[in-house]
Order: sequence, then C-alpha cells, then structure tokens
Amino acid sequence: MLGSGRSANPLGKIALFGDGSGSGSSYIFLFLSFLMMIISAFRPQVFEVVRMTASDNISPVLLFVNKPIHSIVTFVTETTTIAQIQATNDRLEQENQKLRQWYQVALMLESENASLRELLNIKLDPKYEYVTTRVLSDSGNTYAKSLLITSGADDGIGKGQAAISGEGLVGRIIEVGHHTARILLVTDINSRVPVMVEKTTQHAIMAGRNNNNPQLIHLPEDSEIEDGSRIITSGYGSVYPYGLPVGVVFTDNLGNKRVQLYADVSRLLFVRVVNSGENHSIDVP
Amino acid sequence: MSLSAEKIESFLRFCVPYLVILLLFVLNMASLSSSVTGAFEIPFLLSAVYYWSVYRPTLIPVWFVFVLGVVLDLMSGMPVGMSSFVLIFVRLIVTDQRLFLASQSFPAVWIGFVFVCVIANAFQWLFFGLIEGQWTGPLPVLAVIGLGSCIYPFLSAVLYLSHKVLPGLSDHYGVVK
Repeated sequence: MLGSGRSANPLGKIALFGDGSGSGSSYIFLFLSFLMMIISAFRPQVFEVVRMTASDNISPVLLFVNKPIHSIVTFVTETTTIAQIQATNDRLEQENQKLRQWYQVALMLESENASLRELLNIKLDPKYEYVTTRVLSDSGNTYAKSLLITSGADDGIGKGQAAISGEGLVGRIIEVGHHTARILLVTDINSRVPVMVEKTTQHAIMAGRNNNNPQLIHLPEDSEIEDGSRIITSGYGSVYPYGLPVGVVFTDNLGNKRVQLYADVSRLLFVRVVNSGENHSIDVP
Repeated sequence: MSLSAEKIESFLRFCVPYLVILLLFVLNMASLSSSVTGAFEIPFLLSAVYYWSVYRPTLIPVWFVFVLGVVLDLMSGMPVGMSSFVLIFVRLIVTDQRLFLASQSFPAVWIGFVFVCVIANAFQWLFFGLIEGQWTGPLPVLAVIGLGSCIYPFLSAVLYLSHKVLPGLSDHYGVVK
C-alpha cells in the first residue's frame, strides 16, 4: 500500500493539472515538451528572447553558486602535486626567457612594418576593440558546446562577434541578453570557422565535432598540410577577423586533419570579445 | 512545542529535499572534460528525479519536473524541452514501476537507474543525430552513463538523508507496509 506522501505535501494544493502526479498530466507535459523540443531544434530563434531573459535573471545566482565549484575544480585539476607546480614553474621560466627575446624582435618588426605600410599607403584592417569578460557557466555538455559570459548588449556585445582567450580563438556570440551573452564554441557541432594555414595560405573550414579537436573540411584533394602547421582565421565571411590564432594541425587515426586548439575551452575563466563595430547577425543552423 | 513552531519546523524540513534538488540542478550545469571525450555532464538531475519517482513521486509533481527541465535547457543551451521531455518520461515509467522498485534491494534499484540512464542518453543521442545530421561520438555518451551510474549510490545516500528529514513519514521510503 502506498504511503502518506501526498498528505505531507503542503504544496500539493498548488499543483496544476490535478495533483500533478497522475499519468494524464504527464502525457500533456510530455507532449508539450516534445513540441517545444521540435520548435527549438528547427527554429532556435523562437526561444532566444526567453533564453537570454532567463540567463540575465538567473546568472547572478549561478555566478554565486559556481564560484566555489569552479575553485574546487581548478584546485583539484591544477595543483595535484607540488612536483607538478615545480615543473610548470621551470617551464614557464624557460618560456619567459624565450618570450623576452621574441618581444625585442616583435618591437623591431612592428616599427619596420609601420614604416613600410606608410611607404606603400596600405589600407589597414579596422582597429578592433576588446571586451574582457568573465565566463559564467562551463563549456556546455555532451551535445551543446556553448558558454555564458557576464557581459551583454549593455557592454557592447553583439551577435556574431568573435571570442578569444589569451591563447586563441574560442567561438562566436550567438545570443545576447542585457547582461549576459552566449558563445557558441568552435568545438560545437554547429560551428564553422573559415581558417587558413599560416605558412601555405591554404584555406579550409574548421568544423566542430563535439569533441576537443575540430576537423578541417573542404580541403582540396591535392592539399598537403603538414602536421604542426599553424592555423589562423582567414577573415572570409567577415565574421571572424583575419589572423586570430586558432591552433595547430594534426592527423587523427582515420587520416582526418584535425586542429589542436590553442585555447583550452574546457577551463576558461575569462574571454575577450572582439568588437569590430559591426553586428554580424548569424542564425544558428 | 507550539503549533506555529511545529508548522515552521515542518516547512523547513519540507524545504530540505528541494534545496538538494536545487543544488543538483546547479551541479548538472557544471561540465567535466577530458581529452578523449570532450565536455560532458553528470546526470545529477536525472538521479534526483529517478530517486523521488521511486520513493516519493508526489514531492516532484510533473509541472515541477517540466519547469526544472525547461530552465536547465534555457541555461545550458540545449533545445528547449529536451531535458523536460527526458525527465518527465523517466518519471512516468519509473512511477509506473515504483511499487516493484521500492520493494527491491538497493543494487536492484541501482540497476534500474543504469537502465534509465542508458535510455535517456540513447534518446538524446538519437535526437541530436537526427536533427544535426551528424552523430556525436559514443565516448562522451558512455562517459555520462558510466559516471552517472557510478555516482548514483552517493547521490542516493544524500537524497536518502534529505528524505529522512521530511515530515510525516511512516518509514524511510514513504511506503506503509
């Protein structure tokens, strides 16, 4: 015999559709969910306003609750042993030495570039502005690779703007609320980024595959891209600015050309949104 | 104890399971990642819905499960309605079998959860594959099922503790023998 569950439920009186536990109401809500699911899958823009309103309103709570969780995860993953920290420290010191040398070279090249451009009267790319913002939620789930950031339209964020981390390209803005925005990561199955191999200027499309390594597609049959080649954005389509660092090429077990991203999209705390002054409104397929 | 104090205590006790569900809801949005599988989530909310569907379905009315699923989808970027569909479906089939499940040993209930977890994830995988026209690799899906199944006993213990503080229970499982 069933227990006295219902009598102990002080909220039972506000249950909609009868007591809210019967199979009749279950089928109604099941059908409603299915309907919403189909609409959302084929016309995601229908729920865009609701989605961003929810994000705007729930984000402060999420930010508060996520803080300790993020700290724990970061602590566990990054500081497992003292030896690891020591090794990281040594590696960073060596890197720093090299970077100092490169800094001097970069300064020299910058001034040389400026003077050469002045001589040739080249029309320069527009100067971009950056909005640095905190990541609110993690890098999505099994099927949807996106993340929420704590800046929105009020901060100058617009649809289609590219998002980068300190290391490289992360994704682009697909939904914008007043105080929050959603970034579609380059790892998402819906993501397509026009890229090029820096050395050979070979163009390709980088397609997300819902794992950590997007795939290069639409390559000519005779193309020979060496593993380890650097990939940057090509600027085609004007969504992603030209020259953003993306990652390096490697070949997987099946012979596909994949990209090892510079940015670790699973451990982002801050991102920079590239504001080119244009608003590229792109519908998510 | 006065009547109002009793009422307040009852109300506070009644809030505990909902606070646990809220916590699991937030944890559900945090994702794990590995170089092999990419990002994936632990099905915390599915565990909670399964547990309460077995032991006390009146605590999670269908409309409540629906709202939880919709808000989860809105926040996580999934197609709206996907989580609510899965959660309501799980609630429907588990509630139907609850008399059987509630009288079983814990390992049997655990196996029941693994079964439900496989069905829920298989449905999502199939749905996304059909919609996108591309199939997500099986590894992240297996990671969700594996990790969710492994973590269920611990979650079940937490949910059991929140169950124990509920007022007006005749025994641990809300089932009068």
